[in-house]
Amino acid sequence: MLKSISTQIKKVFCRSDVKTSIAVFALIPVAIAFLISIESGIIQIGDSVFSAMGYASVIIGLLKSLFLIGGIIALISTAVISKEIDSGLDCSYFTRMKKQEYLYVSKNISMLCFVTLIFAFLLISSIVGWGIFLKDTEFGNSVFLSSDKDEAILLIFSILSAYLEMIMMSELFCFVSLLFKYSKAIIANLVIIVAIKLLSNIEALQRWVPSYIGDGTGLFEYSGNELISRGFEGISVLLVYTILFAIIGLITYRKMDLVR
Amino acid sequence: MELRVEQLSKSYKNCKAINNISFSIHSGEVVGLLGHNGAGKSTLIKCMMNAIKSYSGCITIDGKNIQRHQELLAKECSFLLEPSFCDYMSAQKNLELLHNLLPDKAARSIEEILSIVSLRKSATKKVGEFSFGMKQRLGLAQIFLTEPHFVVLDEPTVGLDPLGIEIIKNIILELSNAGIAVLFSSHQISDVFDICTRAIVMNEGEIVFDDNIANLLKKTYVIIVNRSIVEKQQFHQLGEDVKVENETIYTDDTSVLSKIMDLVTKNNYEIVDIRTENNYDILRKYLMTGGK
Repeated sequence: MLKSISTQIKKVFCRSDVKTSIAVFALIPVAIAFLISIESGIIQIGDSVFSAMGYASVIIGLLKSLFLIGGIIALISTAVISKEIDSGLDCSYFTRMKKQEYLYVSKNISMLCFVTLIFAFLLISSIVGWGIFLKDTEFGNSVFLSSDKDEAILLIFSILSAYLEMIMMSELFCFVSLLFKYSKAIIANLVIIVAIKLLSNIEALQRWVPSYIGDGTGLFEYSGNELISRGFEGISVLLVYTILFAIIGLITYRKMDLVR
Repeated sequence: MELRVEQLSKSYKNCKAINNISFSIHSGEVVGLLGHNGAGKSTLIKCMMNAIKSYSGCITIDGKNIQRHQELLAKECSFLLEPSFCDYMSAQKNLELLHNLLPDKAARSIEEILSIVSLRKSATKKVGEFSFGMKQRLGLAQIFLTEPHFVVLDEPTVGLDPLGIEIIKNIILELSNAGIAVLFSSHQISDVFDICTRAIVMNEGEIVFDDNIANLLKKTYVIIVNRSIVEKQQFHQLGEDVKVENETIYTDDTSVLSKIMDLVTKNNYEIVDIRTENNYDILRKYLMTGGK
């Protein structure tokens, strides 16, 4: 199993699209910080004065709203799962493994590594960009998190929720990629991103919609203990979705024929 | 060791891809799997490698069902379906990744394996830049990562130039000399004649011929007369090999040929045609027309 995981991780991180994605997420936050500092008007920030994590949270929210994060995760997940089944690569690897499900588990872990890495690069790059271009200027203070306790908690929950949302989306895209051939799976996954975004506008459903939870905007109206309990509720919902999609995906993959 | 396929059937929606086929292969045998497109060869191989799971019947290695013993399949068998690799990696990297999955160290070094398939010079070249023939040879190289008892190849000579075909044939013969059983599917009867000890011919999901190559080439005399033969018993008495069907007499035995002629004349039949036929001709008919 460990050998399979290390093989898949090597395979994923040798992909040029994966390397490009990491580079994109490493550069965009720094570039945006620079553009804010020269007052280019690239994003409307009003009177906001960013802390390091405040800036990171805004950047993650911005890239999510532009479908860049979801889109890239969808494309990579589909290539790793659906394309490799279609091409016969899974079949070739499977004949050397003890169990078929090991392959899916290792692919999921490699995707988890990819998502974690792009999230880490987003955070680090945001902090670096803030440190170089925004700190102690009219756009940024010198605080890392926040001087206000509730705001600090809010920031932690929104960043954590954004990360869990990315993992959950990766699991969902992997599962959907099992059901369709490559090109159809890409379309299906991109439609899912848009559909989830639209669902988050329906007030009655909002609390259960991943992108709404991941945005952390629903937490603004709360403070104190309620903020903490709402934050944990959102995280729990995302974790339940993640586990659910991982299990459904695993069961599906275990039973499916590796030829299409 | 024995790899056995028993009463295997597989259907896709309304179409029966494989219909109740049984055979077995043993160590050292080189078995050619022949059949026209859609005969069921690839489906059979996909079932044998557990890539297709929903079939009836069973496939066993030394009596152990491969669906319950995937580890046995991984250890004892090596498959080449169609060459599938990470195009963005070099040949060497691809083999290293596959090697990484093995429980034990590879039987040979990657460099040595690439030399066997004449790809040493292209070791660091990306597989995406390979020709189909090179990919096919790289696919074959995977086999040498392990020491399997059974090697199953799906059309390994397709798309290769004469030199590539020669390399693959030599590799198959070397595998056989090492006591490894090889089952390979092909459209080319000549490939089978050159290197196989036995041929299995599939048509519309069924095995229509399964015998050794010597029997495949055995001649049968066919004598066709002008009307349906009534005195069948008299002909059968000439020898065990004499068969009569309507107006046709078949025999493999040249020594009874003159006696058959005498009997034909005696019973006032007129000879319409005399020819020799062998299983090879029948086989060709199946491959050219699907037996229709």
